Amino acid sequence: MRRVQADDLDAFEEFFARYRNPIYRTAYGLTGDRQAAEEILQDTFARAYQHRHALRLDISPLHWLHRVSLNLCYSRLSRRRLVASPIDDATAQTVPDDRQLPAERVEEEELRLIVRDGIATLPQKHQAVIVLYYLHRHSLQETADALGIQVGTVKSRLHYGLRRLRGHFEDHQRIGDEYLPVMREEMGPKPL
Amino acid sequence: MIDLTGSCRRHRAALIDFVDRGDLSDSAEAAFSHLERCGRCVTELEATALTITALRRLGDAMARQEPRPDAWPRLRDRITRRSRVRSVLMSPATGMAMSLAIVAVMVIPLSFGAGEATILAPTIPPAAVSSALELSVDRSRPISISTQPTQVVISIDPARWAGPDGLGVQVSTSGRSVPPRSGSGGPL
Repeated sequence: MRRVQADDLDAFEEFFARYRNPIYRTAYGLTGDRQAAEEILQDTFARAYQHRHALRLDISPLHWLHRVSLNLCYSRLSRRRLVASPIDDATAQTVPDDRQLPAERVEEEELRLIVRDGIATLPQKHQAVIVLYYLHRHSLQETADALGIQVGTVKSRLHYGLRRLRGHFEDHQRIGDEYLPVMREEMGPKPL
Repeated sequence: MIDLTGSCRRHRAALIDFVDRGDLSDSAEAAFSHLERCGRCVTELEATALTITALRRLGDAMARQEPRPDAWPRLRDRITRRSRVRSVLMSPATGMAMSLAIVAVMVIPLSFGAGEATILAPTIPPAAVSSALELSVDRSRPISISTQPTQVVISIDPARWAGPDGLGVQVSTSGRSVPPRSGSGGPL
C-alpha cells in the first residue's frame, strides 16, 4: 500500500491483481451482468487510485473496495430498474450450463434477482457482512478482519441481515411456491 | 405456540449457528430439545436455512466468474490518461493560460461595451450641451402646475420648452389635465 501511495503503478497492478476477483464477483453477483460487472470493477479501482493517499494502511482495503463497488452496483441497479429489464438473458447465454433446462435457468436467475433485491434493502454495514460471509464464503474471522470489526459484531449483523432477508423472501410468493422444493432438496435432510 | 418465557429467542442464535456453520455450542442440546416442542422455531429455522441456501447459491454463481484478461491494461490506460490530463491541467503554464483567458474574458466585453456606447450615444458637442443647460435655466418654468379643488392641471408651454439646440427633445403636448378620481379620499 505504501508503494501504491507513492504512485508506483506496478504496485497498483499487484493491488489490482490481488483484489480484482472479489470485487468483480461481488459486482457480478449483485448485478447479474458481465458488462456491468466489468465497468464496476474499472470504476472501483479507478476510484481507489484516485483516493490512494487517503486509504488506511492498518486495515485491509477490501472493505473500502467492497463499499465502493456495492454503491456502484446499487446505483446501477436502481437506474436499470427505471428501464425495467429485470433478467439478464445475455448472461445466461454467455455461460452455458448443460445441466439446466432454459426454464430452470430463467427461474434460477429470477431467484438470484430476488436475493439481490433483498441484499439491496439491507443497511450498508449488514450488506457488507452478508456479501463477505455468504457470497464470498469468508470465515467469521476473515469477515471481521476485512471490515475491522469484532467477530461478535459480525455474528449479530449476520443474524439481523438474515432476519431481514427472510422477511424479504417471505414477501415473494415464488420463493414459497416454486423455489422452496428445489432449495429444500439442495439442503438435504433436516438437521434434526 | 406462544413463547411466554423468551426461550425461543434464547435458543434461536444457537440453532442458527448450527444450521449455518454446524457449530455445536454448549447450549445446542438445550436448543434441540426446545425445537422438539416449538413448531414456530421449526418454521423460523427452516426459513432461515432457505435464506442461507439462496445466498450461497448466489455465491456459487459468483465464484465461477472472473474479469476479462484485459481488465488491467484498460484500467492502466484510464489511470495514466487521467494522470496526463491532470498533470497538464495542474501545470504552471496552464495556470498562466487560464489567468490570461479569464482576464481576456473580463476585458473584451468591457471594450465592446465602450464601443457600443460610443456608437449608440448621440454625438453632442460639449458646447451644445452647456448652451442647452443654460437655455433651460434661462427659460423660467416651461411647465406650470396648478391645483384646483377638483383637479390638478399640468401645462407645458411648447414654445418655451422645445428649442433649436439639436438635443432632439420635442414636446408637442400643449396641455394635459388630470381628471378627478371618482369618489373622494381614496389614494391617488
